[in-house]
Amino acid sequence: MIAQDAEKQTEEFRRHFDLARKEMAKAVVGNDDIVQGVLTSLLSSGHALLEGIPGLGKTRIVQTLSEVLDLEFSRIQFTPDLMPGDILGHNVLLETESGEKQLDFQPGPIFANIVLADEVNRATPKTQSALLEAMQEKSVTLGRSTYRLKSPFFVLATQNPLEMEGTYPLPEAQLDRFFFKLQVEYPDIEAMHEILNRTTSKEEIRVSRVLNSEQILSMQRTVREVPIARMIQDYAIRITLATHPESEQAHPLAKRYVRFGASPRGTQALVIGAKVHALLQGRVYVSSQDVRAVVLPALRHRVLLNFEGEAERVDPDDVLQEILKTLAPPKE
Amino acid sequence: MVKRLVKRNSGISAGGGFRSDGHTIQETLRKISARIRINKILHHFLIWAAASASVFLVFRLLLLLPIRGTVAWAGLFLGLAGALVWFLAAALRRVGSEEAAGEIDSLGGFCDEFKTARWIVEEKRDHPFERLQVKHAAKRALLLDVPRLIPIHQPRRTLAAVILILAVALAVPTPSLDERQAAVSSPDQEEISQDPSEYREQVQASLKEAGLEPEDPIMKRIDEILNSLEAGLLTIPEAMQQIAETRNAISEEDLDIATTLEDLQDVASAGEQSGAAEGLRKALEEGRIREASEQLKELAANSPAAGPQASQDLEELGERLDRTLEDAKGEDSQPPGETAESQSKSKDSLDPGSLERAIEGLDSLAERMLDQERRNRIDQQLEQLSDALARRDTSEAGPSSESDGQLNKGDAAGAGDEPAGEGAPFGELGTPSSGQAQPSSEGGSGVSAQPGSGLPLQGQATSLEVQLQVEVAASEHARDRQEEDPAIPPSERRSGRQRSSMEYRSTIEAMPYRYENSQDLPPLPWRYRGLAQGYFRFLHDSSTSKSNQP
Repeated sequence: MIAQDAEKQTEEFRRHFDLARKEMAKAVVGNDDIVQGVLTSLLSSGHALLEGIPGLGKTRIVQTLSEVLDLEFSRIQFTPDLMPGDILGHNVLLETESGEKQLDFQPGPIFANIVLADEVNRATPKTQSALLEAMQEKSVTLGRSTYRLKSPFFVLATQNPLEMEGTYPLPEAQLDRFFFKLQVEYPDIEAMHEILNRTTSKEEIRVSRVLNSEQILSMQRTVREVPIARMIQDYAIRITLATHPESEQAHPLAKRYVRFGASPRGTQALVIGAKVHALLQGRVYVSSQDVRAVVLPALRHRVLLNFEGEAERVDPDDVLQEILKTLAPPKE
Repeated sequence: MVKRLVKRNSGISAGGGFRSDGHTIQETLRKISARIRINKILHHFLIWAAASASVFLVFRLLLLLPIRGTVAWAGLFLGLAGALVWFLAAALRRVGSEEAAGEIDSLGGFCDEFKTARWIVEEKRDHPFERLQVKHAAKRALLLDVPRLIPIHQPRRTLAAVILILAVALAVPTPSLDERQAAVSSPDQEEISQDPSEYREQVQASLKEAGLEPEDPIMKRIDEILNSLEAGLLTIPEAMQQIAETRNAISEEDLDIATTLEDLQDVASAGEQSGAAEGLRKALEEGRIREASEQLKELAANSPAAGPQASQDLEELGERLDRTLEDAKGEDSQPPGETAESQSKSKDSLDPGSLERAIEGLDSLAERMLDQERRNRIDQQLEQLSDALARRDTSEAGPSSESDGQLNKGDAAGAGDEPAGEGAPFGELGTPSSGQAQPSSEGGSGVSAQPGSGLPLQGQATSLEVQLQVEVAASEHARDRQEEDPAIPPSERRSGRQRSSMEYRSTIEAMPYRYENSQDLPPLPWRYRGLAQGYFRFLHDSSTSKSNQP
């Protein structure tokens, strides 16, 4: 591949990304950042967690995404009585034509390209943990058999804030497996008007499939090829270390309110997310601004507050914002 | 912002290969480095100029103050040298390509483009995306209007500040060399530059306050000196010499008292007295003359009842005391040993009126000792007068005499300013309790000022002999006065006129050493050895007796 090919590849990336974003914008109103975050997670080979109170369109976003992408989609509604087998699948005892009995694996809804884990924090931690292997290894192990998941594999989970009744907090290990955590906010007045216009009239909104799995996999490869200079990578590391209360580079707020800082997986998310951001900005290299742009979605769910932070209702976003204020981009 | 900083029709195209792109980037960074360095040098130069101008301004202001010119010049030199070193260090520092890339990214808003390109080029990375990035950066570098992006600064404000400081510095009036020297050498200039007759009245008033009556010969002598000085009949050094002679006469009086006291103590301790005479001997040895006189009177009154032998012993003692007192009145004071010898020779022929004369002599001596404080005050006033004249003389004489005065001051201060530590020569030991040079003189040879006063001195440093005399006399008097005052605790009593610069305990510890070593010191004349020995013996005995007290 020569430089011209790389240029062509990046242009293709932007074109496809814009295509998907525009198509989603037909059905999703006023959540451009969320859409971009979801697409970024998909193209970074990661998973996204959408958090917001009921009724803000979280499920709608995921459904629209599944319609825009020519991929196999499945939805799991998480409830307190949901069992791991309901997600992963079962071994069913079948009788063959010769009369022999054998176990046959019936794959669960996890075996799809896009999995919507709706209201994921309403299931018990045991069931939530059923997603761990699938999200990280992209495989499922039942008994002695391991089954590979389809590629691309993308989990989109939605959850209600923990204060809501009947919710269980996600285990830290599972939280860390989400590439981005996106917070869905109330739409503004203009967006509300648009939502009402679209949903209370006869007009039926139809979106078309604009990206197939091959294109998505190609875009994922393009992301990985974007170079990042050492000083920019160093900046990402310094941001991560600033969230570690026991680190020498820890921010004072982190020392006071944080129990566990972001993991190396968080730094990976920072860098890969920054690469996508750089490509979307028309650049073929990562700048410190790209890193800063993805700090909140990449690290907010990886910064776990201590008792004092919880008691004082400290928002991890505030801690991260303070870190960004303190840590200036590298000058040289 | 980016658009403003690129050339519109540069006519240069990039894309001549990865190596060429890398070269383009490096060349651009070099240009930028050079311009940044020029700007920094200019910036640092102006800061250096402002600092130097400020130093110069401070220098000019210092010249207005009454401090020595060498201090101002040293300050100027050090300030300029420091600023120059700082400037050279800053100017010689190179601007690296990474700093240039960071600067250009920051100024142009290029989102780390040149930093990344520089990193890729220097790391010799060869991925297609990295090539593409370098290609984009090289294209931008060719379009960059470097002079516009990094213009050579014209820091007008700093320049204006430098000019302003320089103007202010030049506007500060420069005192002439004579004015400055006058200001430096005479901080108390008004003291001696006022009307001479008014000053004379002040001197007379202060001397009167010190206890000197107008008809006193010393007062008359001072009047005479001041009048002669005012009339131009005397030069300042001559006047100072005459004042020194007057002070010397006062010191001689103290020395006479001390010598007489020493002789009396020798007389009292030489013979074998009865129990009744023991009190007299003790009073004499401890310098309580008034009490000794009373003891003698009492012994005289009780002698008929004590028997013929006691009466004869008393008469002999009275004879020796009377003879000693008579000898002390003479011009040539005899050594104590000689006095005792003559006493033993004339033991056979007793004068019946000698006892009464001895009592009268002791009373007279006690009166003279009581007058010692007044003499000290007068001596201090004369010392101040001499200092004032010395300052005026130095200011009139110019810098050469000023430096001479400094040298003399150093000598005089060195003689007495050091505390008497172990192993110090006997000359320095002369004032263990004063800690200051005695501003006295011998034979009108000159005067010295108090050490540490910053005043120039005139003439030779005070000789060690004179220091010793004054110190001994003063300490004898202070001892009498303090023993009369029970409110002063023994640990706080002073031996002389000034407070000791040594700790009391250190002085006590040092005393045996001093006493033992005082006998073999060559600079001390023979006639004062007994005096010095008596002085240290007294200190040693008193410290021993105090340490034995519960």
